[in-house]
Amino acid sequence: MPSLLAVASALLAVSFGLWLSNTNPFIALSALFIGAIGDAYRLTESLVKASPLLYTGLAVTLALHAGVWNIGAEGQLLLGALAAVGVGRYVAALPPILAIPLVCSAAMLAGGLWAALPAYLKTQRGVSEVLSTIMLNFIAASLLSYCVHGPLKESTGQYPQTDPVPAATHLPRLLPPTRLHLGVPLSFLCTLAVSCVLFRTKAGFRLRATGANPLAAQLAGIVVKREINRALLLSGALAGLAGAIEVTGVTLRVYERFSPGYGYTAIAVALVGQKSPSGVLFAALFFGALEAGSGTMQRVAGVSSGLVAIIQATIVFFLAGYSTEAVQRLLSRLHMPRHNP
Amino acid sequence: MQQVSLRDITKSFPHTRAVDQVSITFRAGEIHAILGENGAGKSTLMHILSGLYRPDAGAIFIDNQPQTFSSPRAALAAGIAMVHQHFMLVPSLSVAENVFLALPRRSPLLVRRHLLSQHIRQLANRYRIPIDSPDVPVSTLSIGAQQRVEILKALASEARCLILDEPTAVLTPAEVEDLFRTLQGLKQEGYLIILITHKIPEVLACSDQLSVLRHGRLVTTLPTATCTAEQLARCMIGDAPLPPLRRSLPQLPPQESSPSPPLLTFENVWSHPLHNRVTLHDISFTLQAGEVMGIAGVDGNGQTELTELLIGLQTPARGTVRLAGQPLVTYTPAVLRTAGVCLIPQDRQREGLALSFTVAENLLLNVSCLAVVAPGFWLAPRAVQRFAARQITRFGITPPSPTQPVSTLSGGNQQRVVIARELAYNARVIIAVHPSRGLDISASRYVHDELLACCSRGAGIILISTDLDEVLTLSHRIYILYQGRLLGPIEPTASREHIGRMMTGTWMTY
Repeated sequence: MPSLLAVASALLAVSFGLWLSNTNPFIALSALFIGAIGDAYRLTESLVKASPLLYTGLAVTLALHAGVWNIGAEGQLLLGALAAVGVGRYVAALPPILAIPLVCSAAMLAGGLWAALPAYLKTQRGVSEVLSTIMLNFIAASLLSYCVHGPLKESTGQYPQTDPVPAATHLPRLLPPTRLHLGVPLSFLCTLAVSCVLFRTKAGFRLRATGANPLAAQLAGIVVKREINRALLLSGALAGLAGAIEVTGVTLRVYERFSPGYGYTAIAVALVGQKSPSGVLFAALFFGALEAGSGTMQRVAGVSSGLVAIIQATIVFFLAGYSTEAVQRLLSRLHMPRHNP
Repeated sequence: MQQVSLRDITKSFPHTRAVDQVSITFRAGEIHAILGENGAGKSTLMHILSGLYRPDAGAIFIDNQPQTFSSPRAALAAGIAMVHQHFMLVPSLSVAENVFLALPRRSPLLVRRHLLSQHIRQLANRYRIPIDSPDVPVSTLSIGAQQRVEILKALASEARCLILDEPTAVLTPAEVEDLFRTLQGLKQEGYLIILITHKIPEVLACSDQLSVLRHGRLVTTLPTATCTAEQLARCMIGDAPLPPLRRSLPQLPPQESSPSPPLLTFENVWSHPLHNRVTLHDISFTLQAGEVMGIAGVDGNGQTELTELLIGLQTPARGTVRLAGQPLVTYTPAVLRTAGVCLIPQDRQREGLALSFTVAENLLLNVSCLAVVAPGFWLAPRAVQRFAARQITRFGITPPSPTQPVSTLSGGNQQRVVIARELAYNARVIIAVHPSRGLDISASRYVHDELLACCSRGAGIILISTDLDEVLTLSHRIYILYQGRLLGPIEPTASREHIGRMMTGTWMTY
């Protein structure tokens, strides 16, 4: 509910800004809309853009349920992508049905390990996971930069990028000529899986209890540190998977600036999703559609595609505002009559 | 302010009508008690008067002027302050800083600390409210002292009407007397004191007027002098029969004939010395199956520390703890819980409940319950609902909806959720800290009966309470906690004077 309100308010605020700068907001926003879901091809593009946001958004959400902020989805995604490329070289001879799961598992392992360090630091040394995960993002980006300039540089040696991953690891395209790949339906399955784990398993209950009241959870006999470790490792694995899916489904290789900040946008996606996996699904689809539509908006309305980032940021600002207690009380008063017929 | 009246106040929540057409008139210079069982609507009514809720219908009049309060701040500006059951203090700030937050005319930028401290000392002296120092953090104070800070806050905000929500729930007998003396003093200064309570003796001892609520409706408003305890109990509970007053403890199994080792043994256990904490000295006791061991004492003499040691949140610095004869090697809540240790914690909201969870989820917040309801990997919603429905019926939790967020329940019903969970399965050693805090007569008797039923099934109970009556009526043996030492055991038939001397540390001259 606050999310929908935040989205509406953000669109209004951005429209006002456009109007101030002598642009017709209706033309700009309708171009954005048409660019995102105007026809079947554009619709699939939106889905393709939404997929990495969904994986990483779920990663952030999962950690959030245990009361920890994984700001490091970006770094975990990059590590996952690197692992996918690294392992991809060795599985070229295998059939896709083996090669793809192998590559994905390697990426999940890499992402999970990258999150293991902050998990260790938090549970054993009391280091805030917010700081350690952020800092590891920069280390991951530098590591990736080193790899594409050094050991993993393409064999022709021309650009700072890796060789393309072998065909055996390419995710099947579902509706050629569109770029819709297997990773998209898989991400929906992932949403269902995360939702199931959180709300239908004992492990998920322990994890959520840890996030809801760590002291009460500990007194209830839940080993809180173990739950935090698990949540961060799983979260890292999901973000790592996002890297592998992006490599094998879309870019087919890794280069610098491989991720336009999916792991950071994921935090906004998780916030808009309000901790619910299905909410994250809709948020990721919406943010993916914004990304996909931005090009059309730039061409048709002459508005820089950077506006999309502004819209995303404005949504988060409004969301923060609507989450304050005062506004919450106001909102609950507004739809009180529904409870009292 | 001469008179505050409520006229036809009605307030509904999604599942209940909490307050139904209640009209009461309060006059300055009186102590007016609002009496009723858990969920009778006392707190809701007072939350309306203090601006936290807005009534669906009805109006508030101060000196015959109609008032609408959009927030507690607005009510405060009109002179109405509330001391909540769960104190609204910032634990890390000092007494002075907490009072500062309540001042109506404060300079927006500067805090003049010495003036503030001086002001607070003056206030405290004027109304004879004992405080040690205005400059210590509130978190280091005992519950009784925190309550005095709340009252100081209300006085500093220049309120003329003080509403106290279950103020005596966690006070020692001596602290209760101090509180009543303070309230009498305030009354003579012309303050209006409204006391929410379910303890009939306290109402008779200190109020001038009383109003009884039942199921959200006003039963009657009377001058206290004309009432008797039986009459009030009937008003509160209605026509339902009264539970028996005296209880018979289950027979203890004869010591030497019991072949099994004692449930729990502490052998010369010391706690780690920590900053701002009481260090436990050389604690030794043995808890037999079927026994209630009462631990009385003035709050702040090591109750918190002992509880943390008993549930495994702290590890002992020295000494041996044996569970069923086996010395414990790893010492964590998880290990102790699995071995059948249960905890009814002192502060249910902080230690016992996840407030964002539903009632059903909170009923599972205990690894023993979780293991029974969900033996495998999955947490089947149907099994959870079935378990929740059963416990809700058995323990009379209202509203009886498993999917209700536990934060919307009244304090007493939140306590029932905790107890319903802790006594559900595998309760072998039950650590009960203030188990009837905030519960009304019938509910607390029910809790006591449930505890004793567990006891006669072979569980051992460690009852830690500052309510001496509770300890005296329930325990087979009584220990006194004084400055981190366990004194006793003494028989529950010992005189109150003797126990009182032990609680205050003057037993040595006895």
